[in-house]
Amino acid sequence: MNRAFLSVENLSVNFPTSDGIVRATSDLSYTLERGQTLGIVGESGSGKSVSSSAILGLHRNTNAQVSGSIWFGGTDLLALSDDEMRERRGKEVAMIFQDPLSALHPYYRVGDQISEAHLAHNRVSKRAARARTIQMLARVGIPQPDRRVDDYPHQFSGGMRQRVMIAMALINDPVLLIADEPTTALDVTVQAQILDLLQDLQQEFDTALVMITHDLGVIAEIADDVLVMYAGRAVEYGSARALLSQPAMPYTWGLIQSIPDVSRSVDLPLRPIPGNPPSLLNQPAGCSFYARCEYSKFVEHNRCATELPELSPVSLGNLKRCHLKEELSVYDAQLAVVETGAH
Amino acid sequence: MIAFAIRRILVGIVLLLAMVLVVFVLFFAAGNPARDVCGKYCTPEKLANITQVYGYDKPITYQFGQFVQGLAVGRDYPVDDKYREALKKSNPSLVIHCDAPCLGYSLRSAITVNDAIAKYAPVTISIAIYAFIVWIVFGVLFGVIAAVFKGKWLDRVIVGVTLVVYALPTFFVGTFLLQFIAIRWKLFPYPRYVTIADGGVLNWVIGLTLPAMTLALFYMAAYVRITRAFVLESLSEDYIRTARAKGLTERVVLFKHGLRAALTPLLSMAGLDFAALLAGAVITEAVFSYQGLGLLAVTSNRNSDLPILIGLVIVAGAAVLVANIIVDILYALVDPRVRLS
Amino acid sequence: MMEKLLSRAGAVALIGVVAVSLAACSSGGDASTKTSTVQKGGTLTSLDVTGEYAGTDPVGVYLGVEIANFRRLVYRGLTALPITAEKNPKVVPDLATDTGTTKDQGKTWSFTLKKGLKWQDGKTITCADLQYGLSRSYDASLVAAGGGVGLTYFGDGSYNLIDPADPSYSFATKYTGPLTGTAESQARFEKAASCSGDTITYHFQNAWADFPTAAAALFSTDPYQKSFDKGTANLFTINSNGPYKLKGSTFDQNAGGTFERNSAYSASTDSTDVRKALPDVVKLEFVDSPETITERLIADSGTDQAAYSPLNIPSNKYSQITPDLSSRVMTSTSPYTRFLEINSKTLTDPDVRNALVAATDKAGVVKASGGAKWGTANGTTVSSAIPGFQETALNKIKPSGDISKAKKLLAGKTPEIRYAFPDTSPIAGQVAAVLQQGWEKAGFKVTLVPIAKDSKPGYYVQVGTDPKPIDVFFAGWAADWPSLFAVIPPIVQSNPKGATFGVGFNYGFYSNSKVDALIKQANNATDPVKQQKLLNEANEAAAVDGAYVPLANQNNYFIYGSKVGGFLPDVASSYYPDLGGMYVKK
Repeated sequence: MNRAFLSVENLSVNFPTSDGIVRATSDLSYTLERGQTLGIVGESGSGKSVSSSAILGLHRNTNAQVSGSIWFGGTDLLALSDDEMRERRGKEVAMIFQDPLSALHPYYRVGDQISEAHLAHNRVSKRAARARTIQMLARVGIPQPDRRVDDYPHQFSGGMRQRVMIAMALINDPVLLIADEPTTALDVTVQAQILDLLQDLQQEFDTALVMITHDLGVIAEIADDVLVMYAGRAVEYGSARALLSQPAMPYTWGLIQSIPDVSRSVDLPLRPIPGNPPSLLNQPAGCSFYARCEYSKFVEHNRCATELPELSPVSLGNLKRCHLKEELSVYDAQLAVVETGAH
Repeated sequence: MIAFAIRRILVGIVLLLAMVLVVFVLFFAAGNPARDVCGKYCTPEKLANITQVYGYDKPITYQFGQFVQGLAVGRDYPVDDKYREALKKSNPSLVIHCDAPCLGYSLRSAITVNDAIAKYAPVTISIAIYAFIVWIVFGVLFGVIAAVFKGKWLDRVIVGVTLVVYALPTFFVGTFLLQFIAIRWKLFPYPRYVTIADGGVLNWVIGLTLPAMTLALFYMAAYVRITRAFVLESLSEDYIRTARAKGLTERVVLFKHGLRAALTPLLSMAGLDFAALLAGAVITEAVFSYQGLGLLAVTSNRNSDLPILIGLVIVAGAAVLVANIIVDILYALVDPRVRLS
Repeated sequence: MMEKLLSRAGAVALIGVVAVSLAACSSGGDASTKTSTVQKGGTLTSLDVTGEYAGTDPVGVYLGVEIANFRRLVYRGLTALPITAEKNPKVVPDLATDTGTTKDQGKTWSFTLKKGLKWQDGKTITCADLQYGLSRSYDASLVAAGGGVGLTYFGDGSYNLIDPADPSYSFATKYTGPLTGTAESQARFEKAASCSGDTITYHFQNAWADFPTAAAALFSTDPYQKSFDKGTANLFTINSNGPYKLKGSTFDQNAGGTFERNSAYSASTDSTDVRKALPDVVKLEFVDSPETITERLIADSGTDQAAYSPLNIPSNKYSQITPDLSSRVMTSTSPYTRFLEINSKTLTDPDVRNALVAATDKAGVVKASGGAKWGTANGTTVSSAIPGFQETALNKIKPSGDISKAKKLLAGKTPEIRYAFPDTSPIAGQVAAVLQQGWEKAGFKVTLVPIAKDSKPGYYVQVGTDPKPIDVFFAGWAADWPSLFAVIPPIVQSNPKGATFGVGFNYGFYSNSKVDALIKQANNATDPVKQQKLLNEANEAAAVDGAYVPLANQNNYFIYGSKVGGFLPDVASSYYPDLGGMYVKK
């Protein structure tokens, strides 16, 4: 079978606790090609970080139960031994984390931490690693890299620190990069710079990028494909263009509508999605979004409450996990209401 | 960095002087020091003599000034100037000279406080060092093991045992080691303090083992738990996740990234605990009859030997102050975030 | 006195002759059993508790065991008591040529030093040294914790050393010792204790009949080298003229000291009746607790085989003294007695006092304190170990108390009494409970006043003040030297200034003119047997008047190592084990 560059198939991650099993990720599947960007969007607890950590094998040696397969470079990462996985980690596949201040070790110099990542996978001299580190720091846009290589993490500003993290992740030329909310802790202007940087690097190295975020604006800017996650499941998946122009699932509608729009009248109220995500411990029988969905009344026999929908394609190609028929342009009607301000 | 160190040292000196003042006031404010020093069979003649030798009838500011002078350049006893000059002419051998830094003179033991402390300090320091090495090495070792194997039976056993050991009072452990292990069951030679000069290093170590173990067991239990907590906390930090994500081996992650952060606060705690031990482990030394500063404190208190008590309090306080400064400086050396503040 | 001395000396010579001839007879046969058991050499260790020796300066020593040990090791006196199991031993010469001469029934005493006596630095011991030694007793700063023992007997109110040219001159108030005394007082002192060649003569205000025995038991009359004197700096130094000398410069109050042979000592100037000096090294080792000492002696391993302790086995260790240890365990009568003193200023009615005595459960006190191994109920403050001992009528009262007699004496009254005791151990509380129970059965209303161990001022200061809110309190006593004089007057003689014992132990302020008169008579008597008779009469009169409540005579209960030989608690050592005759078996 001709697999994609990265193919996640039926990935499930469960955590057994004394209160029961927490199903953080259930039956997740997606693919990604080199040079492409997949944006994973969802609320906290939707499973976006947990599923991505599974790709790096960060759940090994914990009590998590991971099932399914993650095909990468011709092998199922989940089937590898710990040592084999470790060889790839930080080399072919790397990860950038949300808060660079806590993600970098406070006691070690920045240069040492980056060189360490390089030396873990390459038999080179310390001097060579240091030279490469300085090169990388320059490449990610840090001024005076030969001086700053000996600074400590707390001596950098937030944006610079995140560049350092990116440098550390890219030091071994990974072909797959996972960025877990890399700009959430930064100001908007800095955010833009970081996103530009990531895109540049992606172009230069032909890296496949998984961008995890809760910010649809970021998705709109850089993602080729979008995966919307809710309560551990994929609820909508498709190309960015298709999904953002014609989202097919009520949760996605809610996400888009809850973004404040500068161009709209200030008098119009924001439309947040009411309620909270369900517990991942005792999941309801039917659709996990049922309790918060305004449109379940349009579905016959109350199927939303009892039957978990499968992922099914809509006309533009994106998959939706929803019982609603596509003909129902409820969304268009709703959008019209919003735009005209009529009630 | 140097500026930081110098600042800390200067503050330390000021604190030390303040402490000396507080100790002085405490000892003199409560009751009649001359009467206390005079002892059980005090006669009016003896009381007068003591007052003269120690100058207890002088105002307290004068006495404090004399004390500080003694610390700086040394002093002579008796304190009363006229009396002392007269004595120098009639019986010079009765004038006692105390070299700087003079912590006082004890009439009851006929010895300067400095000499008394110098005589008793080696035992205390030896026991403290020995106990310290044992409790740090094994406390950290078992703490790390417990943290790494958290939740498994090894962790539970370690935690359970330390709980029991920690609950045992020092005098119980010490008496048990002495009366049962050494005397009754003859499992270990009877503990006797031997200096290196007299018996060589091996006998010195053997002589210190039982009292050092008495202390070490207690601290070991505490440090196993503390190390375990620090390591667990450190291992839950984000930078550990980053280290793993870089593809580093578990060993490097644990020792280089995890332990380093855990041990730093641990060692600064240990430094302070060690300094406190330099004041003398009273119960341990008493049980084994080892002539250390702790035993000196007990007997001096029993005999109301004020000058020695004051000297001991000052030495103990100074040890903790110095340890604080050293620990602060060491911490700044290790944790770069501290330096810039 | 002279005739007695001659006949005694004659008797000694006779015995000596007989002994020699007997030895000659038996030399072929069993001489080996006699001589081979007594062995020279080895290290003997005495284990005691830390912090007891408050000083080793002779004028500052008061502790009984310290006096006993040092008498045999390092400090020779004018006279000494011999090593013997006899209950009433005679004092023998030590530094002096004889046991002293007096021409006026004891108001002046003369002693002549032997030839060839040396200090540890090789210098000769002179009469000036004897003078110097006594003069230091008047220096308050030197008498560390000794409580002024010297002044008690040589100062105002007791025998009172006097300047023969001016007997009213008070050394106790005017003379501050050789280091700080005025030239005038020093000159007078040297007349009160005057030297002529090698002979010293002491002048006393009151006749001191048994002064030679006191000189053996007190260090006040020992010599002291002026060149050695550094005042208070000598608190823990030892300048020896005995068979051993201290290793190192100072004796450690907490750790003890080691004594090695003194090369300047010449055994020919001494007698093996007083010092056999058999071990090569004697160690005084101090340890934290009596329990540890007992454990070590029971375990009997290594160097502890040649160790012993002058401490009694603590009662919580009795169960560990199994029959197989019996060859190394010894009981003997202790010179310590326990009794209660009654505050006769608050309990003024003798009937009430005697009711208290009758209602006291002595047997219960003994039981609570440890039983027969601890002591035996008695009826006097005098220990049966003291020569001249005699029980009083109080011994006839049932040991568990005679409640009906007490009730009769009280005749319906229910007096309130406050009982004070030093709260040093749980046993003290148990004893108090036993006493309270007995007294309450008779009708007394009892309040207990435990006084904490480290309370300031100390226990004896509190019970010794006047007035005090205490009616009866726990006490104990042991004679400073083996004589009734050292027990009876200190406890029952009233003490207005000028009486024989100005400083005593009569904290109950008991005052009975009949008792005082008998004691005065005893002082003036010259015949020791008559003295003992008068003192016992005084004690009897006091006892039946309710001066005190007798409890018990303590027993000693010793254990020693298997290689210790010659273990003998005797009169000379206040019934502590006598170091003079002990040796290490091979």
